[in-house]
Amino acid sequence: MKFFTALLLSVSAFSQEFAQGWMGEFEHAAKQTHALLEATPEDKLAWRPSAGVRSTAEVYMHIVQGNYFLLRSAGHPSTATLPKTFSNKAEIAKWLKDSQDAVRTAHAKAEMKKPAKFLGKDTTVEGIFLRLLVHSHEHMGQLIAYARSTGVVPPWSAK
Amino acid sequence: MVRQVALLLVSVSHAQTPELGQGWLPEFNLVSRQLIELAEATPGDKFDWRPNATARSVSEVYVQVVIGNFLLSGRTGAGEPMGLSLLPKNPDQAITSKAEVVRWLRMSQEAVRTLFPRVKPKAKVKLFQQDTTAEAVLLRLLLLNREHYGRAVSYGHMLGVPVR
Repeated sequence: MKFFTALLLSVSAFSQEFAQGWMGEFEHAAKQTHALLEATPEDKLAWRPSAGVRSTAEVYMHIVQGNYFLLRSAGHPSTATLPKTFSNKAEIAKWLKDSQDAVRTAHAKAEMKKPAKFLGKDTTVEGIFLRLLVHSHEHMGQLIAYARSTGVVPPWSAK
Repeated sequence: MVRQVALLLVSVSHAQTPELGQGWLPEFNLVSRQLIELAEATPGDKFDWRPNATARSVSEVYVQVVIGNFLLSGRTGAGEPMGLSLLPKNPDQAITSKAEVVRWLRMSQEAVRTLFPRVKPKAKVKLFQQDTTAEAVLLRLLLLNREHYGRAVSYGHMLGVPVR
């Protein structure tokens, strides 16, 4: 069992938020995605694993789009209008941070048990916030694999 | 923009993924099914592929999920997960073939589903030397699955595996 724990703790410095509930897990993903973006050279942002698949920059912006879309579904619409093109690292970092700030603000005042509709089905606000979190973690995982493939070492692994 | 994203999310998934946004168990069932489908769609000779020498191989990514399912469900205070005692000592070195990966994925997922009804969400438990609750451990388990599914999807794209 010690072996398993060591394996799962390989994310080291970022693991204080682990298993501490929704906001802790959200902050964990937010920190890691920012750290990974920071470590990615500008010229790697256009890299994609194969034709027709999202580039590195597009995955980051997909997280941003997902955050705003899911917030809207949870009853917290934003007036943010995303640009049609984006490739600049600073610009992507700003969009990512702004969308995450919007999530933090909405989560603090959300009525979790309130009924909501998502993709035409009945659910609760809590169910949509769970989807938002799951969406962020899936694409963080995708970005970690992209980083590994382009020679970028995730900063938390390098420590 | 919102309509575009909605269309995107709907087009990729809704017909096949009615579990989206429906809570913990539906989300767990969804990612479990997607992991199995992706593992089954990956050719057997690609399970030792890795993007570089220090990164996890395809089989190791899936075995992380297996380990996470057993370890984390076992920390919810609901008892020992079924099949944990059968898990090899160094699972990432012992479970490497496609057939074994898929078999262990299924076993670990079944272990989680069997324990789930017995979990008391607000029960106080310890994980990584920190106080927490059983529901927070379940959330961690779900997110570990999703993160590694994201990695497996990327590997799939790099290997030309059709990803749904």
